[in-house]
Amino acid sequence: MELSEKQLIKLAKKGDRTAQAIIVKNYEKMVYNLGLKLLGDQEKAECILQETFLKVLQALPNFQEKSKLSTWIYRIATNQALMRLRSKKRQQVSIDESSEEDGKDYSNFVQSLEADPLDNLLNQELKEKMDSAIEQLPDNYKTVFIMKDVEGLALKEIAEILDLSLPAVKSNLHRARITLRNKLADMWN
Amino acid sequence: MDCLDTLSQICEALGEDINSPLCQEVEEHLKNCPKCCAHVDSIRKVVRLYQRVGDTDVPDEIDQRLWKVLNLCKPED
Repeated sequence: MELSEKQLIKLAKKGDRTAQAIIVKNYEKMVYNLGLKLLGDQEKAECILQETFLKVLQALPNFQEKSKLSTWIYRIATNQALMRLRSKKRQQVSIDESSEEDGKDYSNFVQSLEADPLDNLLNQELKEKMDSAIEQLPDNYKTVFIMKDVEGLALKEIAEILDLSLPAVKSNLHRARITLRNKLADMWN
Repeated sequence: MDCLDTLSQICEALGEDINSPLCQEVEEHLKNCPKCCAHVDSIRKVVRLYQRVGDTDVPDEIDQRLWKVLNLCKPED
C-alpha cells in the first residue's frame, strides 16, 4: 500500500529509515537538477545533493508541516546552493546595464529562432550559449528564473522558499528574462 | 502558444486574473502594438528554449555515493 505524504512524514520523523529513504528517492532528482542548474557543475551539484539530504534528515523532526514537503526541501537545497554561489567570487552584472529594456530591435533574433525548428536549435553550440548566459546572471535573478520558468514552481511558492515578497520575485523574474534575452541576442549576432 | 496563453502569462506575472480590467487593458494594447508583441514574443521564445533543456537523471555513481553518505538503502522501484 502506498503511503500518503502525511503518513510518510510522520514515520520519517519518528526515525523510520524506510520512510526517510522514500523521501530521499522522491526528491533526489529535483534537488540534483536544481544544484546543476544553479551552479552549472556536476561536482557542485553532488555536494548540494548530499548536504541537502543530510540537513533534511537532521531537521525532519522539527519540520512544522506549514508548507509542502517539496517546498521545504526546495528551500533547504536553494539555501545550500546560494551559500555556495555567494562564497564564489563572481563578477556581478550591473542591473542598469544589462537588465533593462535597451530599445534594440530584437526582430532578427526572434526570426533566427523561428528559422530553424527548435529541436535542431538545441545543439551543443546553443546549449553552451544558454549556459553561458545563465551563468552570468546575478544570483537573485538566476534563482527565480530557474525556479519559475525552468522548474515551473508557482510565484507564491518561490516567494516562500526565498523569503521574498511576491513583487520582488516578479521583479527579479522580469529582469532575469530580459537580461537573458539580451545576452542571447548579443551572442547570436 | 497563442495570444491567450501569452496574455495569461503576463497576467500571472502581474498577479492578475485573466479577466481583470488590467489584463483586458493589456490585451487591447497588445492587439495594436507590434513593438510590445515583439518584446513578449522574444521573451517567450527564450523561456521556451530553457524549458526544453529539461531535467537529467542523477548519474549512477553520484546516486550510489548519496545513499552511502546518508547510510540508507535505496528503495526498489
